[in-house]
Amino acid sequence: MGQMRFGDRGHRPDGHGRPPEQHRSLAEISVTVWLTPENTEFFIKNNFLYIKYGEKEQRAFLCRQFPFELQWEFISVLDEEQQEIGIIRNVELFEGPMRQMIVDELNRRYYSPVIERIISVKERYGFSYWKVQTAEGEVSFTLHDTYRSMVRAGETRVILVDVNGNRFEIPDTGALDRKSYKKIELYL
Amino acid sequence: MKEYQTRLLVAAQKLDPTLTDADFVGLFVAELDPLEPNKRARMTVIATRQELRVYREKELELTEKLENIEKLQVFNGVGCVFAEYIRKSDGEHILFARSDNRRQASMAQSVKRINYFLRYGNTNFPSGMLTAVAQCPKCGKPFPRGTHTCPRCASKTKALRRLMGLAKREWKWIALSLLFFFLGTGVSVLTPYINRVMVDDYIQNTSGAVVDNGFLLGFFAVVLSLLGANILRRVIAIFRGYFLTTAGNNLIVRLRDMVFEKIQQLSIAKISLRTSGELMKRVNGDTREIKTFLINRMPDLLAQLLMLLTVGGLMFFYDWRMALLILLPMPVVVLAFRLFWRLMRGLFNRSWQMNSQSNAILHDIFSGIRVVKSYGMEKREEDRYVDMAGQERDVHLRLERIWALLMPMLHFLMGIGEYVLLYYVGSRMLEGTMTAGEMSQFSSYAGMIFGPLMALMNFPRQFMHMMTSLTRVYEIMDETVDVENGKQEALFKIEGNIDINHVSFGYDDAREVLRDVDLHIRPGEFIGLVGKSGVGKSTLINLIMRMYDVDEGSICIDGVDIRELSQENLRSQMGVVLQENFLFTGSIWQNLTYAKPNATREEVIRAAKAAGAHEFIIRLPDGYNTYVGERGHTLSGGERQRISIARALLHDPKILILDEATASLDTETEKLIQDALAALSSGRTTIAIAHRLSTLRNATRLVVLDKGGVAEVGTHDELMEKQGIYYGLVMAQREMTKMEE
Repeated sequence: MGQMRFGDRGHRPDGHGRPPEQHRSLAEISVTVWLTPENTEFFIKNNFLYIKYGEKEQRAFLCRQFPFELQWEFISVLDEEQQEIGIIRNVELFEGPMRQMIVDELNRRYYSPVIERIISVKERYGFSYWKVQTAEGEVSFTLHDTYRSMVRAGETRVILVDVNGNRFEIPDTGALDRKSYKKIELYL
Repeated sequence: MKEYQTRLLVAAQKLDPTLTDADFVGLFVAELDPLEPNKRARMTVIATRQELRVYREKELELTEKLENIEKLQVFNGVGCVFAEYIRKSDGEHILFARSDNRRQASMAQSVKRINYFLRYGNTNFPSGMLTAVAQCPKCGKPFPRGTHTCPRCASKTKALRRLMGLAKREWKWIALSLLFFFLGTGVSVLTPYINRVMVDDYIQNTSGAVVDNGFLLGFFAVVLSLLGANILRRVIAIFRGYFLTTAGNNLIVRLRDMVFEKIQQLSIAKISLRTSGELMKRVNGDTREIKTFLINRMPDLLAQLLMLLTVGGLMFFYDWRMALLILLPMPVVVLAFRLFWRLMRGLFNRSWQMNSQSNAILHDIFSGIRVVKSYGMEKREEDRYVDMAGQERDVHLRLERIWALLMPMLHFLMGIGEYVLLYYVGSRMLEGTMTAGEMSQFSSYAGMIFGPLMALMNFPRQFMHMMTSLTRVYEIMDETVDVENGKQEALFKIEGNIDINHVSFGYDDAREVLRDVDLHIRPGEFIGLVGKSGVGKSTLINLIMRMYDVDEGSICIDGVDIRELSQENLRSQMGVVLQENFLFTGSIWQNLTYAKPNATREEVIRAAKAAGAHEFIIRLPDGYNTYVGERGHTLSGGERQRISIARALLHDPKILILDEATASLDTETEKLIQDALAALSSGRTTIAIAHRLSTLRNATRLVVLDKGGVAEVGTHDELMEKQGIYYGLVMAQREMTKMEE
C-alpha cells in the first residue's frame, strides 16, 4: 500500500522548490487508513488479537476514539509501538467470528462493570464509599472528590472513576430505581 | 521489609504447602479472568525458582518453566491491567493474567521482582523492590493513589489526639479565653436579674417604698450597674478576642510552616502527584480550617454548652413549670430545622456547583479571549455564559423561594413557646404570684437559650469540615521522605567524575524508562545526550541531580554514591538550565543572583554578557531592576532562557546540565550562546540534551539513548561513520533544514 504520510508531501527528489501549491482539501493532505474486511484480516494467536494488514502480521491494540459516545465505532488499531495502523469505522463492517474477536478484545480492554443498583453511598472527609450491585455481584469502591469523579458521558450515562482508576458505569440514570437514583441525585 | 516477602510466601503456601522460602520468588493476585471479558475470577500467580504458575481459585491452570521465559511485562487497559510473559524460544508474548486496577500496583511490584530474579538469578532484591504496596494495615485495602492514609479507617480519636497536640502549645491563650468567656457568661446571666430588680423594686415599686433621695440613689445605682454590666461585657469580649487571635495566629503560622517544610522535603516524584493548586489549598485553606475550628469553634462550643446549662438551670430553679413550657417545643423546633437544612443542603450544594461552573466558564473564556476573537465566536461564548447564568438563576430562585417560604414558618415555630409563656405568665401575674420584673427576667433567659441550641446543631457539620482538612494536612505530614538525605553533610568538593553504574528506573511501577544504563563520564567532558523524545534523556538527568532515586544500580560522583551526599551539597555544585525556565517574581537582578546572592555587580554583568542577556536587559527602561514574573514585565521565551543561562553561569558549578537549554532561541542567538557555553563548559563536566544536533558539535562524546538503554557512544565523526541511529537522526535533520531554506 503506497499510502502517503504527512511528512513526504510535495517535495521533488532534488529537495528544492515546490510546485506552486493549488488549494488542496484536508482529505487530500491527511490520509486516513480505514480498515475494512477487504483490506484487513484479524485473527487470534496466543490469546492475543493479531492483524494482517498489507503484508504484515502483527499484534493489534484497540482503542476507542470516542469511548463516551461510541462503543463500537471509530476504533483505532495500534501496533506494539503505539503507532496507528488504521481505523475501524464501525465494528459491524466485520462479520462472524472476526467481529466477535474485535468485540471481545474491546470488552477485555475496557473493563467497566455496569451498576444495576446502588446499595449505599457514604460521604466522609472528601471521599465517598459506594456499595453497588453489578452483574458480577456486589462491589464496593471509593471515590475521591465525588463530584469530579463522576463523568457525564452523555445525557443520562455516567461513568464513575474510583481512586484506583477503576471504572463503573451507569448506562441510564433514568432507568435506575427510585431509591438508587435518590442516592446519586445530589451529584448529578 | 523482609516480612513482606514472608507474607507473600505464606499466601503462596496456602495454594502449595510444599513451597519453601528457598524456592519462592514472587506472588500476586489478579481479579479478572484473563480472557472472558466481564468475568471476575480470583487468579493467583506464583513464581518459584523453577516455574511460573497460575492458579484459578485453588486449581492450577497454567505452568511455564522459568527457563523458557525471557521476562514478564505489565500493560494497561482501561480500568484493568494485563500481564504477559515473553517466551525465550520464539519471542512470542503470552497473556497469563488480568486484573482490575485495584491490584495494579502490587502486580507491577511483583513483576519487577520476578524480572529481577530472571535477570540476576537470585532473590536478593534491592530494598526499593521490597516495600509492600502501600495498603491499609487495618482493612487491607490499598491506599488511594498518592496518599498514605486509608480514608475509611483513619482513626478519629487518633486524629483528635493529634489535633489536641497542635493546640497544646497555645493552651494558655485558650484557657484565658475560656476564663473570659465564663466571666462573660456570668455577666450575661446577671443582666436580666438586675433588670428585674429595676422593674420590680423601682419602676413598679412593688414593695411600696417611699420615693426619697435614698430611693432615687438606689435607682441610679441599678441603672449604673446595668451600664457597668454592659461595658464589662464588651471589655471581656475585647480581651477574649485578643486572646483568641493571638492563639489562632500562632497556631496557623506553626501549622503552615510544618506543612510547607514537609512539602519542601518531599521529592519531585511525590510532589508532582499533586497539582500546585492542591498544595496551595493544603497550605492555606486546610490549615485555616483547622485553626478556625480549634481556636474559634471549640471554645465557642464549650462556652455555648455552659450557657445552655447555666440558663437552663436558672430557669428550672426559678420556676420549673415555666422552664418546661419553654423547653418542650425545642425538640420539635430542632427537628424542623434539621429537616429544613437537609432539604436546603442539596440546593446549596447545587447552587455552589453551578457557581463554580459558571466561574470556570468565565475563566475559560477570558483566558482564551484571543482564540474566541480570532474565530469570531463572541456570540457563541456569550450564549454559553447566558445559558449557564440562566440555570444558575433558576436554582437560586428555587432556593430563595423555599427559604422565603419556610424561614418565617420556622421562626413562628420557634416563637410559639412565647405565646404559651405569655399566657402562663399573664395568668400568674393576674393571680399576683409573679411580678413584671420576674417576667422580664424570664423572657430574657428564654431568648438566650436559642443561640446555644443553634450552635450545637451546626457543630457536627463544622466538625466534619475540620476533619476533612485535618486528614488532608496529616496526609502530607505523614508522607515518607523518599529521597533521603545522605549522612555526608560536610561540603564535598566535586571534581566532576560521574559514574552511572547499571541504572534502571521507572516513574511508576508498570514501565521502566531506563534499563541498565551504564555510563562513565570524566571531569571536563562535554556529553551530548541524543535520542527520540520520551526515550529517557531528561529522566537520566533527573537521576543525576537526584530528583528521584534509582531503582537499581547506582550513580556515583567522584566515587561517592550520591545517596550518601546531602542534597543541598550535591545540588550546590550543579548548574541547571532547563527547557522551561521559571523566573520568580522579582527583579531580573534577584533572579540572576538567586543561587549566589552575594555576587558583585561586575560578576553579574559578566555572566549576563556571556549568556547574551546583557544586551536586551540594558535596553529595558528599568535595566537590571526590571520587575519580572507574574505581574511584571513579560519577557519572551528566549529572553527568559538567556537569564537562566546567566543564572547558571554565575553559580559557577562543577557540573553543568543543559536540558534543551537553547531550544527556544533563534539560530543567531544560539550561535552566540554556543560560544559562551563552550567557554563555560571548559574545565567542567557538562551534560547537554538537544534536539537540534548542531548544538552538540562541541561535545567530546555523544551518547545515543534508544529504548531506555545506551545504544551508541562516540564522537560525531565516529557515529556518522557507523551509520546507526545517530546517523539517521542527523540525516533527518539535514532534510528538515533544507526544507526550511
